[in-house]
Amino acid sequence: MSEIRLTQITAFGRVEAQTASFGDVTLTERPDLAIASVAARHGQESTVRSTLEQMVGGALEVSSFREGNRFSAFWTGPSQWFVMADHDDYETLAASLKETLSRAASITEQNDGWVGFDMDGTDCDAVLERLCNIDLSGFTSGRAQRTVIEHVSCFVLCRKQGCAYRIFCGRSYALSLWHALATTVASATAVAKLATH
Amino acid sequence: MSEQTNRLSGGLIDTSKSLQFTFDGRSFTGAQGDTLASALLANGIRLMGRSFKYHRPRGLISAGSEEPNALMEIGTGAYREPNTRATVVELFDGLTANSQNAWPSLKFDALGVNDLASNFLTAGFYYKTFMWPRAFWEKLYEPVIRRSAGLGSLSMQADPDSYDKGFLHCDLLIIGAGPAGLMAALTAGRAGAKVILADEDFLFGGRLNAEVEELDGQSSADWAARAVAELRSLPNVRLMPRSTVYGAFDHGIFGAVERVTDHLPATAKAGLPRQTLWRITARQSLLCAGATERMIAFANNDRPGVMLAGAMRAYANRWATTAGKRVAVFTNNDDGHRTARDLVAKGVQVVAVIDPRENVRAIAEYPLFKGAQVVGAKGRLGLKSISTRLSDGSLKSFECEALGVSGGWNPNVSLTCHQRGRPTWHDDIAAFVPGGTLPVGMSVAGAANGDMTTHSALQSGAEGAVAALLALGISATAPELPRADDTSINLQPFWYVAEGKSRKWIDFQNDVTVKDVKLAHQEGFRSVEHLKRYTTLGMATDQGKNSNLGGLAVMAEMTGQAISQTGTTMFRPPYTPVAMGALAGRSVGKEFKPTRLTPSHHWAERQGAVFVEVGQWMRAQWFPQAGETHWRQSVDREVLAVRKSVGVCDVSTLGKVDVQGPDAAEFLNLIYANGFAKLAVGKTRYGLMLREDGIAMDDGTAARLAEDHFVVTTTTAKAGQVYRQMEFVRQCLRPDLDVQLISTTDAWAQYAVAGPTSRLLLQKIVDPEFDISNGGFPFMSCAEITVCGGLRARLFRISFSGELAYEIAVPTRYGEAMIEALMAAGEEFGAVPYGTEALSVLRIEKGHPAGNELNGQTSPAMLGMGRMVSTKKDSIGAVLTRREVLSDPDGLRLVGFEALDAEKPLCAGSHLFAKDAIETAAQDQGWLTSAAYSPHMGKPIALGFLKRGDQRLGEVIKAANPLEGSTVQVRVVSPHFVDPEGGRLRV
Repeated sequence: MSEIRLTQITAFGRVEAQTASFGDVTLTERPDLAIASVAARHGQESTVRSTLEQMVGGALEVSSFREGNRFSAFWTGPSQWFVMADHDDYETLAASLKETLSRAASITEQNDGWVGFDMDGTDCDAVLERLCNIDLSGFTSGRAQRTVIEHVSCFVLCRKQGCAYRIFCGRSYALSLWHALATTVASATAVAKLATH
Repeated sequence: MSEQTNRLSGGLIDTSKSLQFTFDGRSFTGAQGDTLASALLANGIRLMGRSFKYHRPRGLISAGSEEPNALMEIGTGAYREPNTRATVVELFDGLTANSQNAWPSLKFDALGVNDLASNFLTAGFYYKTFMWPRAFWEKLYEPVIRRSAGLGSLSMQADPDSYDKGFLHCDLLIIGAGPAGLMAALTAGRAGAKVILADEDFLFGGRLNAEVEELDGQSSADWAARAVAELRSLPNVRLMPRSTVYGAFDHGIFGAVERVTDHLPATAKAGLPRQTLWRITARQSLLCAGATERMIAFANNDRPGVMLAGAMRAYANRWATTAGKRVAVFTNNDDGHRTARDLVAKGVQVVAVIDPRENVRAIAEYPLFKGAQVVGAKGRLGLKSISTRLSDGSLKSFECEALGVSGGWNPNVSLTCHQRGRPTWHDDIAAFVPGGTLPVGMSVAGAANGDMTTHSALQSGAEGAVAALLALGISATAPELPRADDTSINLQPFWYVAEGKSRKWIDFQNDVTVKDVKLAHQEGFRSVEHLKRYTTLGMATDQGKNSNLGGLAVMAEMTGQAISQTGTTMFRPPYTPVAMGALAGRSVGKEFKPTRLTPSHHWAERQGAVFVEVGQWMRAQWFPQAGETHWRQSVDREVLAVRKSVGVCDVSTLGKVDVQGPDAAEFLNLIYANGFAKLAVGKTRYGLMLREDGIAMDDGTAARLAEDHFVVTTTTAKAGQVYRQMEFVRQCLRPDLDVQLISTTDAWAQYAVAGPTSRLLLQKIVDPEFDISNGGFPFMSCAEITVCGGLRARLFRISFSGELAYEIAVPTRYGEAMIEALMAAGEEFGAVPYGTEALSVLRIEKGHPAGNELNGQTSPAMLGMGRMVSTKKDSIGAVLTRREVLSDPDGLRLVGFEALDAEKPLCAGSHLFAKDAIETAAQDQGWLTSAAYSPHMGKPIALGFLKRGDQRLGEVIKAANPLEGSTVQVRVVSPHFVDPEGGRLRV
C-alpha cells in the first residue's frame, strides 16, 4: 500500500488560483470546477437534455448556458453539453452522471481537460471584442459560444452581458491564454482611459 | 526656429496650442489640428521629398491619403516608420520627421544626376539596359538600381510597438464621414440600427471641413460637428476616427486599421497599442469614400508648389495655411475657381486663374484667363513661375509660389473593386463610378458614387442608409436634408497639355510621364495591366489614386479608344499601406503561436530539463545531471537506465480521444486498417490509420475500457488531424453509427514507466487491490484503477521502448504529484526521468516508426505493415493500399542500418546508394528517416526506406549526405535492434 498522497496543482503549477486586475477588470482562474462532457446517444437527445435541464433549472438549447444552485451546464455542440459543479464536492461528477444517465449518453471526465477563467468588470466587451469574433450585442446573459482566441480554441460563456464572462481553454494552453487575456485587458483598459481623457 | 510665414487666419486649428516638431533636424512649430503637411506649408516649406526614380525635388500635391510625394520617415530609432504620408500625420508635440530617398540632403541630392540621365531611364529601362552580361544583374545592376531607386529605409530593428486586433459587428458599416457618410449615419443611427462610422481622418466631416459653402445657413464644418455630436450621443453608433477601412473581404467582412496612438507624443503612449486592426463583419455597408482630385499633366508640373486645387483650398480653409503668398490656379472645371475665390478671401494674392474652357466667368476678384493652358513651370526646388499659353496664342509668365491644379475628381471606387467589381465610365463627370458586382451587402453614396455636389451627397447618403436598412428589415426614414450647394462643376475633360518638351508627369510616385505611356503604347504594352507593369504606373503606396486615370486617358488617346473601353487595372487591398505589425497583432516573438505545457512542465523546469518545441508543446528533451557537458552524455545515460532499470517520461502530449457509444467498435474498425471489432475489454491494440488514398496517416493504440468505451491515442503531431478525421467520419461518412467522440488529451497526465523494474516501481504506486503482475495484467492490458490510496487512474501495458513498460494516467491536476511520486518510488531502482531525445533513441533501437517514417508519403507495405491492412473488412484507405505503386514488392521498405565505422555518425535525410554506385538521382535507392547513436549497440544506427530493403539484410551500401559532403558505409539490418522477438515486453 502506497503511503504517497497526491496533491493537486493548478494549470499554472500553483496551489492557489491565478488572479489579476487591470482597471476595474478582474481575471480569475477557476480550478474549483469539476467538468463532464455529456453527449446524447442516438435517439436520446430529449431524455438527456431534460435531465440536464432539471439539474441546472433552465433550458439548454443551442448556445445556452445555465447556472443552477449546484450544477451549471452549457451547450457545446449538437446533442452535447458540458456540465460543471464544485470540484471539491463533485470531483467524480462524470461518474455520477454516468449513473444518472446510464446508456442514454456518453460521458467523459473533463475536470482537467479545460481550465476556466472568469472575467468581471464594468466593460468586458471592450476586452472580448479584441479577443474573439463574437457579435457581443447579441451575446446576452446565458449564452455560450465556441470561438478562437489568439489561435486557442475556447468556449466563452456570458454570465452577465458586458460585465461577467467565463472563458474555457484546453488546460495545456492556460499560460498562453492567460497571457492573451491579461495583455488584452491591460490594453483595452488603457485605451478606454485614453478615450475618456 | 522658423516662423509660420504662410499661416493664414481662421481654420479648424487651435493656434493657442503650439506644437513643436522637427523636419530634417530643423525645429518648427505648428498648431493643434495641423497635419505634418499643413504645418510644413505654414512654415514655408514646399520641398518635402525626392522622387522614386529620378530623385526630382517634390512637394506635396494633396491633403489626404492619396499623397504620392510627401513621404517621410516618422520617428527615430526602432520606432522609425518609412513612407508615411505627411498629409495624414497628425501633428503632435515632439514629432520627428525626416525626408527620405535623398542624400546628402533634400536640397542637394547626389542621385539627382539620375534626372540628367532620364533619356536612358524611361519606362522599362531595366528590361532592356541591363541584359548583358547576364551575371551582372544579380551582383551589380540590381543592387545599384535598388540603392538609387527607393523609398524610405527600415530601421532594421524589431518593431517595439504593440498592436491589437479585434472583431466588430454591425448592421451598417459606413465608410467615410463626409457629407454622405454623416447623413447616412444620422439616418441609420436615429433608426436604432447598429452603425459603425469609420473615417481615416482624425476629424469627421470630410470636405465639409474644407469648404466655405454653408449648410442650413451655418458653416459646413459646424454642421458636421453638430452631426458628430448627435451621433456620439447615440449608443448604437460607434464612431471610429483615425480608422482606415483598407479592404473589403469575403462575406461582408472588412479590414480596418485604427491609429490609436500615432498622434500622441511618446510620453503618452505607455501601455497603449499603436494601432488596432479590426475585422468588421457588416450585414450591410455603405461606401462614402468621396472622390480624389486629379492633376493635369503639363511640362514640369511636378515642381514643388504645384498641387491639387482642392488641396490648396483645404489647406487654406481647414488648416489656415497657404503654399505661397502668390498663387495661381489651373482648372478645367468650376471647382478650381472656388480655390481662387477662397484664397482671395483669405488675403492670398491670386495672380491668375488659367482655364482651358472658353465659356467661364470669374466668381471673385482674380484675373481669369479663358481658353488658356499652363505650358511650363520654373523653380527646381520650389515653384517660381509658370508660363501660360493664352487664348490669343501669346505666352505669358506669372510669378507665383504655388499653383492649384484641378483636372476633375475621381470617385474613390477602390473598395468596390476588392471582390472583382469593375467600375463603369460616366461621361458627365469624366470618371469611373462603381459598377459590376460589389462586395456582398455594399452600396455606395456621395461623391464615391459620382454624386458630386454637397446636396446630392447628403441625399444619397440618407437614401443609401434607408435602402441598406430596408434590406435588413429595419425601417428608417430619411431626415430632412439641410440646404446645401448643388451646382455642377461643368467639367470639360482635359488630361494633359500637348505643348512643351519637358516631361509632363502623370504618376508622381513612380516618375511616369506622358511620354512613358506613349512609349508603352509604341512597344505594344497597350492593355492597362501591361501598361501598369511596364511603366509602374499606379504602383507603390498611393496605388495610383491620382495618376491612374491620367495614364488611361493618354493610352486611350494613343489607341483611339474611349477611356471606358481602355478599362482600369484591378484595385486590391490595402487601400492605403498597413503596417506589418498591425497584421501580426499580438502574434509576435514568443507569442507567435500558443505554447502548450505538459503536466510535469514545472517539475521538469525544477530538474533543469532542456526543453524542445514539439508543435505547440514544450517537452523536456533531456535532463542534464551534474558533470554532464554534452547532450549525448545525458541522453545515453537516460537510454541505458531505461534498458537496465527504469525511466519515466511524460507522454501526455500524445492525443487521447475518448470514443464511446454502442457502435464504437465498428467505428474504430472503419478508421483503423487493422481489426478492432473483436478487441476484448481490458485490452489495448496497436492500430494503423490510413488516409483515403492508402497512405499511412498515423499510428497509435486503442484501449477498450468497456464494451462501449475506447480510448484512442494518436501521435503528438497528428492529434488534431486524427481527431478531425474521426469527426469527419462520424458526422459525414457514417452518421448512422451511434458513436460519440471527444478529445481528452489535456485531461490526463500520462507517464511512460519503462524498463525491467517498471512493475516493481508501479506496484508501490498502484493500489494493492489491482493485480499488475504479468499474469494478472499481461502485455497489452489496460484498466481503470486507483493509485496512491484511491485516486482514479488508467493503466496501459504498452511499450514504445521495447522494454517491459506501462503508461499510467491520472487527472492532470495530480500530474506533477504523480511524477514526483514515481520518482520517489523509483529511487531504490535508480529510476531516471527521460526526455524526448532518449524516447526517440529507444524507439529507433526498437524499430518503431514515428513522424519521420509516417511522413505522408509512405504506405503500409513500405512500413512493413502491409499484412496489417485487413482484407476481411472495409476500412478507410484499404482498397487504395493495393495500388501497384504502393504494394510493389520491389518498392521501398523500412529497414535498419548500422554504421560500419562506429566513429562516423549517420545523418537522417542521407540518401542511399549501392556500394559502388555513383551518387546521382538516377541511382538513388532510398533515404535514412531517423538516425541516432545507440548506446545499446555502441554505434550509430538508423531507420530508413530502401528499395527491396527487406530482401537485402546484410548488404553493405552507402548513405550519402552531399549537403555536408559526407558519405558513410552502412549495413542493412532488421529495424529491430533490440529484442526482435519481443520477449522483454512480455516478462
